[in-house]
Amino acid sequence: MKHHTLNAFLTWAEENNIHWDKDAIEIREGKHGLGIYAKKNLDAGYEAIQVPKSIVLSVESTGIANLLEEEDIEGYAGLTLACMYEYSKGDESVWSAYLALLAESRPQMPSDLSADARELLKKSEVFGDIETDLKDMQEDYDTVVVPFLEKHPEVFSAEIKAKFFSYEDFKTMTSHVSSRAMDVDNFHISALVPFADIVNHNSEPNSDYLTHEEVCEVCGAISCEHMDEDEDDEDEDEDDEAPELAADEDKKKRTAAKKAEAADGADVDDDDEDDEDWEDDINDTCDIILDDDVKKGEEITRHYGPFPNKIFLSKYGFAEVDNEHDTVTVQLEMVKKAAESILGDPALVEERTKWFLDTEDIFIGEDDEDELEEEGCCDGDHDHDHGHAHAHKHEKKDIETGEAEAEESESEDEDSDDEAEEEDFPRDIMEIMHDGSIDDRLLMLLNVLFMEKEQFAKVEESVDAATEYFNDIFLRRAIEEDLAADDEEDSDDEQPKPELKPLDDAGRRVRKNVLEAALQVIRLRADAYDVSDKTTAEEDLELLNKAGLTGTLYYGALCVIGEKKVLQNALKTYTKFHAEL
Amino acid sequence: MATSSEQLCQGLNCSKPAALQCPTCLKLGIPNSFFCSQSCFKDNWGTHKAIHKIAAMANGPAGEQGGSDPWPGYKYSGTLRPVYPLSPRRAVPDHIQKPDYAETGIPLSEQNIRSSSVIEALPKEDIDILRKVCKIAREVIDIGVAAVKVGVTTDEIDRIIHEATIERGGYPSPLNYNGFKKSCCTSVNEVICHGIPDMRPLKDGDIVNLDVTVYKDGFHSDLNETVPVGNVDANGLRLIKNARECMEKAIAMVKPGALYRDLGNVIEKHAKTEGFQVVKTYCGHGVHRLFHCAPNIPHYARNKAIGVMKVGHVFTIEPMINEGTWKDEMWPDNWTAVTLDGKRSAQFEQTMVVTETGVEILTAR
Repeated sequence: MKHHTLNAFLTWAEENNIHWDKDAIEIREGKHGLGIYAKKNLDAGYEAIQVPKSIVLSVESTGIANLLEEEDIEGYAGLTLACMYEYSKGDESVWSAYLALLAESRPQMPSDLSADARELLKKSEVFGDIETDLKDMQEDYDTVVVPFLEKHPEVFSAEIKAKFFSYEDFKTMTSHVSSRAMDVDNFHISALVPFADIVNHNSEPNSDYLTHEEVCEVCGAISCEHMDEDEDDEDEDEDDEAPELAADEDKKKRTAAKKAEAADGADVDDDDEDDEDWEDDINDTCDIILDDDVKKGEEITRHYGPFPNKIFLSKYGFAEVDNEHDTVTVQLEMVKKAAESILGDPALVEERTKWFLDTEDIFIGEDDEDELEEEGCCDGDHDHDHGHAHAHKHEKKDIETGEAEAEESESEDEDSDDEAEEEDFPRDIMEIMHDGSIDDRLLMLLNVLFMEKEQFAKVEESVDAATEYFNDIFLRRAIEEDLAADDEEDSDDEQPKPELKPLDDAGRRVRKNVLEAALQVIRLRADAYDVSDKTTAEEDLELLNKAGLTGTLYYGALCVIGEKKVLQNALKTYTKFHAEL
Repeated sequence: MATSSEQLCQGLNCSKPAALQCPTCLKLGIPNSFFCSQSCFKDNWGTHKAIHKIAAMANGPAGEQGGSDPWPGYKYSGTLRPVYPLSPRRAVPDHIQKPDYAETGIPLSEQNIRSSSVIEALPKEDIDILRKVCKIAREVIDIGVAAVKVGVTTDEIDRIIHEATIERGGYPSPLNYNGFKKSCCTSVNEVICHGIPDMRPLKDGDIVNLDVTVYKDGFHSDLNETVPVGNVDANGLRLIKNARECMEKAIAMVKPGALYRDLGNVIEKHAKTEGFQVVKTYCGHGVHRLFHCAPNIPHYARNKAIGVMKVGHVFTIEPMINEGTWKDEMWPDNWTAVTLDGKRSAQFEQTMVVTETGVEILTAR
């Protein structure tokens, strides 16, 4: 990092009304590249950074916004194109100082590895993600970027194209965008938020990112004529947002004085320095607010979202040691194979699987809307999967357990649209969670596969019967989890536990088959990715640390070890359950 | 901070003690507009600001009865005062095609746009119609400018412009646009824009901007000019000249591929050569089937306007250049924008279309 690039960025940030206290926090190089550090002890609740949305870089704010809109280019490709365009404008760009800083701090991404190096990641699911990313990137470049450039020769001259818009340039900017973009609001959608995006991830963060997400989709204002038909102001700029309240003495001292002066019609100084304050009035901000006290010298961090390592690595270029959100996916085919080997009846397996896939949406209740909203404001980054995992959360909640699991069953949907996600989660993928449990859908499917003929007839007949049956399963699992938790540590909040009648013979048979199938699936999954049993995940980690590997390959190894750990936990859990039966 | 008395927050479903007041309400003399916090104020702004409009409307008639100054107690930034009562609303004959807001005052078609980043490129046939409407608007403003002299009221100029527009089969677009009461804007001295024609006679040494928009055959055409009244001091003439040059320099940049946000750099640079400042609150705009639409074109430097110019884009460039501060405030009529220091402001405006080779100024003389 060249010192002057950072200084130029800080000057630029100030000019554009990004607010931070120079005596309180600073940007400097740390273990994970640039980060934000406390220069003195700061209290929880402290507003460390406020970035006006007017300086957010998105498909809506770039100079070529109208061209992108006309061609319907949005999402990552759109944002990447916007950034490449602004970068190509050099000093003429509104974001020049910011983009110059980015250019000097390119993240190390797995997509930059050679094909040989990527092979080393083959034991992790991240390998597939990276290959898909590379394929998508090339496809986006060929089918979106190039035709867009060709279509607008008055904007992209041959010289400009050669200098700033090669595939390598696209790949580089995609890395920046992928690792930095934050969810801003329903106008900007995903965007680059200068300064706030320097805050690094930590699994135990001390700050949070907050912003007003509900704005006008047409113009981005919090309140405007597009949303409220009663409004009839011509120059809505003036009225878009509430001005500073008069006599506001406690906080917000920075521009309040100037604004109050202006509002009072009092003497105003006309120097250029406060020119940009004006824009503050009509802009909402993206804020980094401390959740905890932060000591002098400590890094200010936030949580990028409950992602498994494979997502962290492919999107951000890093991974965590022992990431509790790690999962291992299980393909539907593996489940069917296991079931067939136990039942010896492919037709039945086919029939039951089909019924489950066709019917499962019914059991995804509408009650999970609350949860969606909750998630909506938990954190901005990337997109949470609002898929099936939430479906049974309320049932679990009813008995006050199992929340953690429901929240953490994240998969890898990339779509930002909630409704689309509800529709589109991959049906043929199920997951094994970090604690070794199988996800809700797999548990349901296994039970459907192995339930007695009469029971299946009942379940097939009536949704109520099916719901009752599944409720019973989740209730039993919740109690198991509770017992497991009690084993580990004496839980201090003793909840009255609901009594369940013991399983009858049929129930025991079903359960035995379910557990055996689960074990088979786990085995199949381990074999498919060539997970070695010779060493434990813990031993692997020790070896890795001894090897002194750094960068992408180190993080890749963490992915492999993380998945191995999941499988290890799963084998342990289901072997135990099976033995107890 | 101690709360002084029983004041409670006006926010919806909030009745916390409150000590902070809405600055606009304070200014308009609306009592008890207390809010507990900035964030509560912000959340309620959408509904709260309606009160300002109601108060302004309530103030209006009182002033019309009360004579020259409709808002006693209002602190004016300069020496100009409104002179009420306003003349009655001028009639528009039935045969004149009217925009959607002519009856209701609400430009629904403008509010119903689905995206602010779409800039329409008009086909040649539309430009041909627009060119004719622009020619009419040019004739109308020239008639208005010719009527400017010492002793003439801005209301009289409004009448002349109204009638000239009607005679040519056009509708004066400002009339009832968001409730605007007159057929053009007349902005005198420290008025930046949107001055309402009233009973004040123009004085020797004034500068006045006439802003004319004509709606005909489905299209609006918008232009304005600032002219001296009688003997204007050298600085006033310099301001007028500079404002015109600012517009011309910006227009010279218009061509396919140019960025809308770059226009402000040129304008501000030129204004600064004379020590003038550029208004930020009011912008150039797209104009064709809608009176105001995308693109939005700020006139100040380092602005963040979006959009690349393409053949067929139709818009105005209308820099407002101030002798003193760029900052503005609004009279309680919710229209008249004045400089915060009461010093003069001048403006010029043309409607233009981007062509293959550059630009065609549709409202050129």
